[in-house]
Amino acid sequence: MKDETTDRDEDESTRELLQAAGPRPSMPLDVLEAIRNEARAVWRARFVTEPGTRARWRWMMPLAAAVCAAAFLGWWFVGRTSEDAIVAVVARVESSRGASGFSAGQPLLAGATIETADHAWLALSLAGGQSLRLDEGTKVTLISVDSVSLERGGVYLDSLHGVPVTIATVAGDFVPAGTQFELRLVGDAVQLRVREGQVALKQRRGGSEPAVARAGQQLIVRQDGTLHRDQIGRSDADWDWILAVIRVPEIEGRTLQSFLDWMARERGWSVEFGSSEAARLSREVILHGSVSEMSPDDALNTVMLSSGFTHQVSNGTLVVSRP
Amino acid sequence: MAGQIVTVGPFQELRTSVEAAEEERHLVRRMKAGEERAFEEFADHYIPGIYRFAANRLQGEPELTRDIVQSTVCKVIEKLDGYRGEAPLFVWLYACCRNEIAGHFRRAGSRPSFVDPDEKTLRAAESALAGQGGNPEALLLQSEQENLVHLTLDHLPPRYASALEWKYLQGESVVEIGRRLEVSPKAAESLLTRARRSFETIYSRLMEKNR
Repeated sequence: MKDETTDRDEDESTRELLQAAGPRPSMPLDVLEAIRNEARAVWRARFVTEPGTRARWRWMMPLAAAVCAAAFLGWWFVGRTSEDAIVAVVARVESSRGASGFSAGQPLLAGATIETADHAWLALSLAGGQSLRLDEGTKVTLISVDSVSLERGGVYLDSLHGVPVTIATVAGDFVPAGTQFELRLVGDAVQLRVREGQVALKQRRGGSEPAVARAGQQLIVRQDGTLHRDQIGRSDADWDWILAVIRVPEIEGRTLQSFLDWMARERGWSVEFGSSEAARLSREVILHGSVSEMSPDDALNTVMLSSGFTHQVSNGTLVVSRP
Repeated sequence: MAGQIVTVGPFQELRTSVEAAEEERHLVRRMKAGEERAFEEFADHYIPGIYRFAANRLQGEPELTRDIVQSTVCKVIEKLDGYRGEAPLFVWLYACCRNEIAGHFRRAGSRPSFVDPDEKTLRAAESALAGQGGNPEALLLQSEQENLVHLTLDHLPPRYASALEWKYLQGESVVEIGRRLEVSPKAAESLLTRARRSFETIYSRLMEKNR
């Protein structure tokens, strides 16, 4: 057992060594924050279940069980294969022309075909935890928990939470890797715009190697299989339609940092802090109340004002400061 | 197997105490439970630590250093279920980082232009000498010792390293350290004792390896 003398000796030798060496060299703050953000995204995808999603699926469990039981009985008595599994639930509906035929919380089964009219947008929470948003004038079929067919219009997939979902089109299958992207049928071509991560295209014709588009790239696939690449912005106005159907998450008990991360992800922004102190505080400030009924912009303004921070957006970067 | 994280055997002896192992296992459990603060604690401590490690070996290549560190940290988080706590968490990151660096140069078909730690120390001494004159051997030893102290801190569980820096570099009281760690002064004192012992053990072992 160590006595007090030994403790004092250890205390002195540790003090001498640390003081002689000085503080550990710091790393560039912007690099630290960039790596932290990527790591946080991986950590969340791996270990964090979205509160809303968890609650919805807990609520859905009895219904899912009932559907599974019904599917089993159907197979038993009439020899059908079981396809009646819930693969998605309607998360949010936005329609400026009255009833859209969908309501929030509505379960959707494998094989369901979903169509949105003009001036109607739909957000679906897929069973694997991903978010699929349908632009106006879109038609998709939910083939299974990890496969969707796009037949008209445009969709946006955020697969940060959950396994990748393959989207089948006339041009081929688009397979994402931890990503946010938009896929749109434009005339006889398919337009892919990648905001984060990367997406591989397995073409139906030609091209033995999958074509890969990375963040900030657009890939147009024409009917004859030819590809055209271009650069795009991650936060330009072409992405704005996806905001029509998002619901600001509950902020009670969350850190300011996590709210900013969510906001930045939805808007395609990167986050920078005016100082290391502001970065540290954003991780310590715990938010209270609710802004879930506000628009994203109003929610951001409200949260920043109430937590004593200021912000501005410049060239796709949300700059957060603490006056 | 591609992407597999291999814990380097000899470094298991850097595991210093049951308490230090439990500290890190507790942190990993909290991360796996989805606790935001645990992730931030992990990021605050281990990202700069592994960045220092990578930057030492990839000097002059900041972009590559950033990519390697990002890939290392993300892979370790993906494989956190496999962490059993036999070796310090930093050693796990260190092993993964070495694999990432080696993999990068293998794919690129080139040899790494590693800066050997000794070479780096030598350069630091030469640079210091050029500026102010002095005893090269003493400068060499001083630079080597600084690196070892910093490396030792990087090997400690986050709370141990922070507590030591707060006490010996920032001169904070045990009461203040307790407040920052959200524990009583008595618990902070106890943690400091464990941190000092872990520090001494790892420092001695790294010194031995370095001879």
